[in-house]
Amino acid sequence: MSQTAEKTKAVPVTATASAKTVAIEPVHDVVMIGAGPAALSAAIYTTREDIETVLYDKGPIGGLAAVTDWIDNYPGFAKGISGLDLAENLHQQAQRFGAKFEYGEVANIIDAGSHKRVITTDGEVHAKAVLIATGSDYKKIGVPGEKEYYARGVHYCATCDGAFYRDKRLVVVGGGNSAVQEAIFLTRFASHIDILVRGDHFRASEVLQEELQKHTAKVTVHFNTSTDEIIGAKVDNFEKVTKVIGTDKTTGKKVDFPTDGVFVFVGLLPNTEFLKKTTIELDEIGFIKTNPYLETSLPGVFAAGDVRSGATMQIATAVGEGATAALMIRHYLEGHALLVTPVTLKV
Amino acid sequence: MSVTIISNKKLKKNERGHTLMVKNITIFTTNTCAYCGMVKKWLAAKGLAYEEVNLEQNPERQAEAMQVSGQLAVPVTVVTRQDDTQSVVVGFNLAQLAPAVL
Repeated sequence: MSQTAEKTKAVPVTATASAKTVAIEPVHDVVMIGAGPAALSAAIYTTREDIETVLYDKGPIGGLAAVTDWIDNYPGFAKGISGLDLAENLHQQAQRFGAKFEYGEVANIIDAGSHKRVITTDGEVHAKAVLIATGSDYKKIGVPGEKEYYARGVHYCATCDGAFYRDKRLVVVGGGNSAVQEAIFLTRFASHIDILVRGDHFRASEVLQEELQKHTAKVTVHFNTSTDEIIGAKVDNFEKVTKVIGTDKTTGKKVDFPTDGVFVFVGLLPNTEFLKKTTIELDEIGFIKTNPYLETSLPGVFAAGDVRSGATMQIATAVGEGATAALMIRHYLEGHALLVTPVTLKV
Repeated sequence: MSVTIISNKKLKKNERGHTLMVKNITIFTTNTCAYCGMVKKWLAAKGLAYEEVNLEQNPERQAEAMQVSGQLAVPVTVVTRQDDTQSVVVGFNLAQLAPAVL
């Protein structure tokens, strides 16, 4: 964008009625939806280019990274870094260059020709370009008791709620990186953890599996075990989880896992519910389809990070995609056509 | 005569239409909870003071947090008004938090 000071401010859309010019709404250069690593990285790049940028998010700045206990695979931190510290650093860096942050939930994106109308729960904002970087959230298992005991023994955030389980028994459901990483974190509180893995092996990285080996005194892994039901009862006037019923798939027998709480990490689902009213194309799971320039099926609207179809669900790649999206947005705002006709990637 | 103007943002109307000031705000947190930090930052940005109860440092107060929220989760924000009525918000939920302190 232009380096002039006035272009760093939102420019009003004007409508001329007779001789009178009426300002309607300011049009931001870019509105970013989400404030996780992808959006924060994109915002660092756009604001450094003097592209006026506002981020809207309803959750914690840093997204899922901010609620991840420890991040060992983000390049540049030889000893690893806590998710909260990484999120805070990204936030401060984006703020340093002038990114603005607004709390709010986006409900719709409407193409208004010269700009996009972004409908939030508090009103409406306008932008020349939009970046969707709403990331993903932990998937539910979808078993009886999961919804009923949500936040009463069923949790999806170990760093938030793990401390309630000091010297208590826990069940962790899942076999991927998140499940193993968070189970390791929970060993600092729990007296014992049963990890229920549907498959016959972990999908988690070797490094995490080796780390888990250090905690065998507290952790028992149950492979080939489905999670079928979460059972609770009233204890001391408070509805609490008391056990998980699973099935050992090798024998077909039901197995009870007595526990005080369940932490669920069985994969990720994209946060794209709010796009269902739009013309933005999603894949069959709900991730946003983009062309090689990270532009969605609605020109001027880009997507980056975990929410994008084909994303590899890593903080490092989300940050890379954010930077790429920022460069593509700059190109778009300069009025250049993208290098080729947008092609929707097959998924 | 001096007139003190109190921001309407700090007042809440009760059923009779009287405005009520927030008397105090307590947040139950844990060490590693990112959402707790968001609530604290949001309150600070609004210029609202709060007392933080870290449940890892004060495990004896966990039962209190559970009782007031009905949940085993943090952050729990308890807003007490001048007439001792309370609003309890679990999580970083601005849809509930904003009206509770406005």
